[in-house]
Amino acid sequence: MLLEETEPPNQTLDHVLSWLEDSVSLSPLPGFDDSYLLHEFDATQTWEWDQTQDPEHGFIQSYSQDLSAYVGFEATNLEVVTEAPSIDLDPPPELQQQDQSRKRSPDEVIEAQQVKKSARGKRKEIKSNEKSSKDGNKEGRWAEKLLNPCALAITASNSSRVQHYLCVLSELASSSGDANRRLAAFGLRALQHHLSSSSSVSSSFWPVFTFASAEVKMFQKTLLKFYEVSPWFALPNNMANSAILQILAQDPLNKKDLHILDIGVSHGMQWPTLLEALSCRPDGPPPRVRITVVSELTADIPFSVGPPGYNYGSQLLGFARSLKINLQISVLDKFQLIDTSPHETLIVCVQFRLHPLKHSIPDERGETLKALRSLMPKGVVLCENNGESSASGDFAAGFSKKLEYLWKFLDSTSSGFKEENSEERKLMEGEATKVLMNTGKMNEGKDKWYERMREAGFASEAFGEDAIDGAKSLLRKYDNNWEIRMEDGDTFAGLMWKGEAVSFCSLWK
Amino acid sequence: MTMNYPYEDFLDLFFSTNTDTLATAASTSSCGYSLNDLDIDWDCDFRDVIESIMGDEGAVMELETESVPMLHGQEGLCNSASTSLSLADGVSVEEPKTDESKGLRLVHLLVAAAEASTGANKSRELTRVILARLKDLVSSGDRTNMERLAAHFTNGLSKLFERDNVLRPQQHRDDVYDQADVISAFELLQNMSPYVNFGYLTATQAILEAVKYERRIHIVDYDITEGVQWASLMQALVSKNTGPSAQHLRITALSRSINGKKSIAAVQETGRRLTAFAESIGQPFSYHHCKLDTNAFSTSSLKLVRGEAVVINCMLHLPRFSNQTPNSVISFLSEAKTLNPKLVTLVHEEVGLMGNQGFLYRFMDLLHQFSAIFDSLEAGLSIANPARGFVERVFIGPWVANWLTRITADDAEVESFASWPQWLETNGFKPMEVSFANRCQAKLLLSLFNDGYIVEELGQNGLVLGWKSRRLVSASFWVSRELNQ
Repeated sequence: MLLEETEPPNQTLDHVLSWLEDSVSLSPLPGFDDSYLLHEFDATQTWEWDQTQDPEHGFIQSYSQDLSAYVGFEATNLEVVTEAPSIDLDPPPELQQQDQSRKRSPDEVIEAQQVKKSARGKRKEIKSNEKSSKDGNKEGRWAEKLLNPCALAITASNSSRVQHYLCVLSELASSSGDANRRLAAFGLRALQHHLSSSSSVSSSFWPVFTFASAEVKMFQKTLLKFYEVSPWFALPNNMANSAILQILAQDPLNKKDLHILDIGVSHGMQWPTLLEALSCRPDGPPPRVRITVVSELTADIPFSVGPPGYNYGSQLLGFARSLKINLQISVLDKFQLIDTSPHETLIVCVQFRLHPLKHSIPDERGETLKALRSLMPKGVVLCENNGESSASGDFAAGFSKKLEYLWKFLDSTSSGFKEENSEERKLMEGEATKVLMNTGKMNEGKDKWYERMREAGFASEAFGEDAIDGAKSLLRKYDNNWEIRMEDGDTFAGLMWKGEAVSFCSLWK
Repeated sequence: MTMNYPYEDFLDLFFSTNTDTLATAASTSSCGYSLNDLDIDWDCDFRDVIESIMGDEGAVMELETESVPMLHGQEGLCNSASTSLSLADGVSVEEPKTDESKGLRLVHLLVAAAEASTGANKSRELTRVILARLKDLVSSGDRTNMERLAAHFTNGLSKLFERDNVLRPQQHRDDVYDQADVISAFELLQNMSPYVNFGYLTATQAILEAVKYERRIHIVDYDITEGVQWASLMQALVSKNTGPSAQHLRITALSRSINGKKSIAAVQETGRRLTAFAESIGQPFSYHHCKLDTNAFSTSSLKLVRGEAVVINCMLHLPRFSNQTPNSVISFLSEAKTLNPKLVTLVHEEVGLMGNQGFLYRFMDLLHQFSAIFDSLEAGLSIANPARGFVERVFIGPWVANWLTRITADDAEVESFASWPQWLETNGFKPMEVSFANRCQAKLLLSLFNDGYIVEELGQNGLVLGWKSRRLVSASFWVSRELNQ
């Protein structure tokens, strides 16, 4: 179903609507939009305006403000076309220079970078210490030392042994304790779920929060908070956007439309910064930007399904309108070959959605990639969880890999969310726990993905300097234990937590 | 016969009523218990649980899948209200519930702590976390035997954990009690259970029989502790012969400096007490204290008198403060053999440490052993009695901790704790038959205590005290082969 509208669709929350309309009619949305309007007048003024922003959280606040304007809509499939902007406004050149660090004056940026550098030096020392105690790090992960043997005992059908581990786990698990206790709690629940899945007994042990069961407002708040405290998705989103800009920049004379096929889990979080960056290009944004979102509502992929009432489309459209970008969003219920026109630059963004697909025969992962290839995209951004694939395919081996993934998630959220047991953290972790429940494989090494991409006919492409620098500067906002590693001639960007691979981003043509 | 069981609910949950295993249990018991009496049976059923908990390997698996009654029995493992879940392959598994028996939870946690503290999957963090949880669970106001026992095991494991993880292990001063406390606790224990006196009385009886016609008796005692054993011997000697025919008794007590100054002082104090007692009853007596610098024993350090009958006394059933290492026992017995002793008495704990089963197996066996001991104590004195708590604190806590330290040793060393009779047999000693009088005396001793204790014969030369079907302590008697050649 396609809806064509020239105005934002009816909102249930009237006050938000009025605020939105007011702000749209008077000036662009609050946040950095104000700042770049000011840019037109005077760069120093901009800087002064920026002073009012918290320098640490400037970026994320503006990001947050944009997104907090997105409120739920009823329509699920919609295509909204805004009028092309009639006002001819070229962004001033200063703006471009300061694109990376819009919020700061050049001096401040340099100073800040120097400070960061010395801080980084220290950080490296710390990191090397951490490396040396990496085994100790692993030693601290006690929950897996009960969960894995339990999974092994299940595989071996050793019921009393299973019973023993379940008993011990239930003594030590806590859904509100430290990362180990939470992992024990989630793992225990998953094991019980696995054990009960063949019987009719329903397992209701304690409530687990998922995106799908969350309230819309809570969901939004949670996403914003998560992007603020963890680069888990923020960094891949950031690199993907950089890669899209990079591909567009390779063909500066190209005046084609931009069409993005979004197979991801960002729930719209990725796009405001891209739209903003597009509007700041010297040549202005492409004549039309189409985002085709593939949302598989039935899929049990972590982070992929939002609450039923959630739709960010019209907010994003309103935001695009404020930037004078002609944005069109369509939502597909499941992946299918989409219409592309020769007047479009098609870029595919695949993030954290392919790993649950089967990779044995039939190789669904490979098939999907080949299908993408048949669309002849100008570029493909592939971000996935990065980990060694388990050698054997039994339950215990797969479970162990999923636990590793979840450990990194819980450990990083422990340090990210300062407030203990915040509702936001519970929701993010509850959603992440889906990995333990589904039967799909969690991780596969980067090599496998590379092999598969090449088989599908793609060639890897190096990330540009802007993308790498952008990612690095983004990462500085987060916990010291995060790092990014560029490999294989900058075609591979690995995100690491405490020296262990979490995810990777790659670019393909 | 109805047994008043202190933690019946725990046992109901824990034990199956597998008649096959009960039959085996009954056959090993010589005390005429019927099958019905053994409804609650620590030995066999607990072992089933131990084995099933420990068995990762296929061997145990087969056992489980073959034996349908056992699987059925396990359904009672957790709370009966819990729903039974089944694995994809049809093996029944219980859902743990928060209201399940605390005793069972404690056992699972103790086993997990033991498992985490040793072996290939050793994890310091996991051990720490489990011990912390155990401490929470057993902290205060423990009303059941299992909770109390778990507290002692938790303390013991914590000490091991600290020993392994603290660079300079702190001295646990709280373990070292005043000797007056130890003696009071000892007396209380004697009144609660025949455990202590069984060893002392049978050994003493055997000594009296062996030295009946000797004028001078010289007892070389491996570990004299408070010397309680010898007071009764002296009384017996005095009552039999008075006047000029009185037998002279000399006791040489060994002490090892590696056990600390305190143990040396204790041996001296024991000497003073025994000397005073002998004087008071008119027993000719002399006491020697033989200080050893190491665990190695040499007869050259003994003062020997021609014509005296040497008796070697080796009480290994109350390991508390002294470090009775296998090497020191071996050294003692090997050297003692050259003295051509009239008798060697050996009393030791009957622990099932046979075979190279590893720490976890030993741990479970120990848990099992002490469960039986606690159970037998309960029959003598309720857990609510403060005296019981005192005995546990002074005696049983250190005893458990000591055993836990022992079983961390390598397999060969650990095994020797359980196989002294075999060692003696293969090292030039031969069995000395237990007299009828001695057997009767042992049974008489049991008649002073509650039902549940049994005495069995252990070959021709030994007696074993058991609680229900679990063997607790055995006494055996030997002479060196050369003597009668």
